[in-house]
Amino acid sequence: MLVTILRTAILYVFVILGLRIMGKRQIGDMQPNELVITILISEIAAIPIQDINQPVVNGIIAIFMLVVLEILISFLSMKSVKARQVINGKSAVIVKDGQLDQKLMKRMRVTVADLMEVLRIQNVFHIDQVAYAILETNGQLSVLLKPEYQTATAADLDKHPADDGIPALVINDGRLLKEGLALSGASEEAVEQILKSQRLTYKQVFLMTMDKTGKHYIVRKGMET
Amino acid sequence: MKRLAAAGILLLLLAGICTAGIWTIDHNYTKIDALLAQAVDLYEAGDMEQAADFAVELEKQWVKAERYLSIFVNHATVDEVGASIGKLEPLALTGDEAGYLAACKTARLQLQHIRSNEEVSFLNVF
Repeated sequence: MLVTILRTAILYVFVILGLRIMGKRQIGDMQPNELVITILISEIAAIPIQDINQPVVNGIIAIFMLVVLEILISFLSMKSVKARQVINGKSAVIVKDGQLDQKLMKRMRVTVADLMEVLRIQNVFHIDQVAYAILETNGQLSVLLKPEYQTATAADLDKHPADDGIPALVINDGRLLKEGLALSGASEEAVEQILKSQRLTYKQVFLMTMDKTGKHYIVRKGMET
Repeated sequence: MKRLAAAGILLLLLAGICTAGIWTIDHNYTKIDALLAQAVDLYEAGDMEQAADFAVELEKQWVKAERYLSIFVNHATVDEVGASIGKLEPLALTGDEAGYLAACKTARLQLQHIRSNEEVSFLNVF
């Protein structure tokens, strides 16, 4: 039993290492080959954990070999358009200029119910509002609404709002984050000034965000938002 | 490029591990198979008393080899060889010559299987 605990810990480390080297994305964003590799790695790691007769090194060899293959396939996909099409497939324009391509839908095995469901997830409830719908290689549907149904932007209204930059997390659980400070463009002194004005210390702050205009948001520890 | 470099390093690591594994299996196969061959020679010479003493020594050598083989070979397979070798001493002591010879040959065959399983052959791959 102790052997199982040790094997689990060892293989966990190697699986995490393998996934970090591969640079995994979220499951919804994965290409088919990436999803297959991820599933394979987890299945292979389970074998030496469950069967202590299997040498751990066999599992590690298989995991690393899959990682190497995935990196090589990704590199090939990046360098060659044809290779990318063979490995990942091509995007398919299901709706073009508001017209449903029924033949393509049949070929891609996309039913009307599937299409409507994916549109609803993207807050599109009327199919006649869709100008383009593209089924991506990772199975997600990208939707472009017709111009009259698109949300107006500042540019459409000829407005020029100020650029506040990105609110960055500068304090996390009482600790000052240097990367957040750099991103927000704020100084440590500015943060301390704000905390002082609110009679707070670092340790009393659960989180603090700040953008480049100095606009900040503080959540104290123990405080419900 | 960083990931490609990581893939290269991993490939080298894998080559190293596989080389170490193949060398370990081959080295220990050669060593133990030679000892088993000597055990068979003792049987053919009819000296079962010496065969029993040799079996004890052979078992000790096997225990050392087993430690390294278990890193690369299925433990149950390794244990089977150990079980065959473990039978040699009692069979020799009881004068069961046929059983002794059978155990020697079984152990040699099992070792041969361990080694041949690492060969890159059509049967092994598929």
